[in-house]
Amino acid sequence: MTGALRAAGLTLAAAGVTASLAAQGPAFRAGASVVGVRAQSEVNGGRVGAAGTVLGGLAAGRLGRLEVDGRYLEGVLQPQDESSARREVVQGELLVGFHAAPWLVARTGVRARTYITPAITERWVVGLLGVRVETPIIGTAVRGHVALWRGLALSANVGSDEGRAGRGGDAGVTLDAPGRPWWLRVAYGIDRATVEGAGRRETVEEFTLTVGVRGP
Amino acid sequence: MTHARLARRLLAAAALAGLPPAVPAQAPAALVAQGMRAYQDLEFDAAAGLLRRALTPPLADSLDVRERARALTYLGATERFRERRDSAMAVFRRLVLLDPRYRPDPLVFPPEVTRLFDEARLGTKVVAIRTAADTTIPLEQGWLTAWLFPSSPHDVTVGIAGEGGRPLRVLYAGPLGDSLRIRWDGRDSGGALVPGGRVWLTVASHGSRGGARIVQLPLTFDLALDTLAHPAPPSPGQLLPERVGRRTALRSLASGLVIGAAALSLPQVVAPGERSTGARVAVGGTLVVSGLVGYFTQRPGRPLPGNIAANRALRDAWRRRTDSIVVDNASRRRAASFRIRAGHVVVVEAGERAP
Repeated sequence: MTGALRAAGLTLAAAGVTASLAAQGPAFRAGASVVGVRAQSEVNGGRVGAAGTVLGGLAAGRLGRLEVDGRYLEGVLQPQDESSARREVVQGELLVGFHAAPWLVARTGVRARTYITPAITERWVVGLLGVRVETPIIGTAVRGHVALWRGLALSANVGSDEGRAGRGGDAGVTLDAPGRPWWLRVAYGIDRATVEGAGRRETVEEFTLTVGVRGP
Repeated sequence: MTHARLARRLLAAAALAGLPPAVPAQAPAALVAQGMRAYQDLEFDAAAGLLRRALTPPLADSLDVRERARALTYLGATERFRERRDSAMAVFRRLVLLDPRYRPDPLVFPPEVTRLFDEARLGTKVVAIRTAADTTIPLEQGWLTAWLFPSSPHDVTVGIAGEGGRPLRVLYAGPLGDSLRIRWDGRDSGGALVPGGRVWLTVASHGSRGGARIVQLPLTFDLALDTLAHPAPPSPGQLLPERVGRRTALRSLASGLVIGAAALSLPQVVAPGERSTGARVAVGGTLVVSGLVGYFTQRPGRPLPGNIAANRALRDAWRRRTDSIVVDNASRRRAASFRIRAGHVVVVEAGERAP
């Protein structure tokens, strides 16, 4: 990754930390997710795939212009072809966001994903920087969002460090139950991580249904 | 001539010549006493010299009001008997200004003296102010009380003035006969409490020729009150729109379509060439449908119940905070008091106009 992107990430983090925390009262959001995951792995031109439904949860808090967003999911992906093995997936993500505008959030953070197969355990860790656009669609109860990010740094124990890259994005719609603390979100996300030196390319798609509470 | 008379004459001559007094610290009072004895001995020149010397600063500063009034009375009578009527009138006017309530004892002074004094008194419109030197008054239902005594009946205007003579309130305007009780509750003409500091109780005496003489009593005003400021009402920026705007429907449609399209095209942006699942279509379609629903349901002018409720909650919270502060401030006011310390009266002549 380029030094410019790293500098941008550091600048964003500094701006977020020094932002006015009193501009808006604190708010939080937490929920449980059911996630349909499809993982496609390319190894030296060959493709294997696995898919499954995993469970997860998320928690997010906002104070002023600063927000912190954490997500975790864990489950089993079944092979989609005879040559693949069953794999367990564990994924964690922690992002810090700065609300540059009511509809625009700049975010940075880290996402770690682990695949556990009977033969090997692979860890893919990516430091990311991106933006998220969120806008109301029906009143303030129904909102849509789209986010894109790019990897600032990628680490994977796949035998080589050459040609590492990562990027991803997600989009979704959130319904806040009017006058009640419940909310519902449907989202689609996709990310790709590449380590050219090892001939590896991992593409993961997620279809997430989340139900949660919010406040105040 | 007795030795005592000779000594008085020499002392009076020295006093008139401006020589330093050859008497110790109690000299002013002693001078007055000697002047009175000289008057009683009909040695008016000596009496005038002694009394004038005693009434000249800085010696006069050590005499209290009663002693000064007595000295002025004897000096006025002395000048009367020296056939210096104008000088006697000037002395009596000075006496009236010093103490408007003072009257020469008719058993001591003959009618020609008291008549001359009355003439000076009637022509010198001034008011004496009597009030507690230091008093603490409850803020609620509390009053500063002052009594006014005129030199002779005349019209007055009584008021409170701030620093620089800025009028804060008129307490009374009208005739003043024998005496008048004035009450002040610490508020200006608008009903607001006067902030702490120095204010002036002013009494303007209006003469028959349209001039005015103003007596000012400085009042040091300490207000022991610490009330809370009312919270600002919700600003327009804090309130949500309560009705659908003209562009809201279009914005909803555009948002749904754009974000829906973004969801559909994510695989091409992030992972070109990847065969993606139908999940993106489900999410993108949901967004597009949401935009359409928003477009058709949010007609301009339609109330937004969610926003109305949110605004009502915001306003109610502000009202509750305000009511709470009003109650709190009322409690603070009930327990509050103000302390007033009176200073020395100052008389200001506001030049009389020609008749």
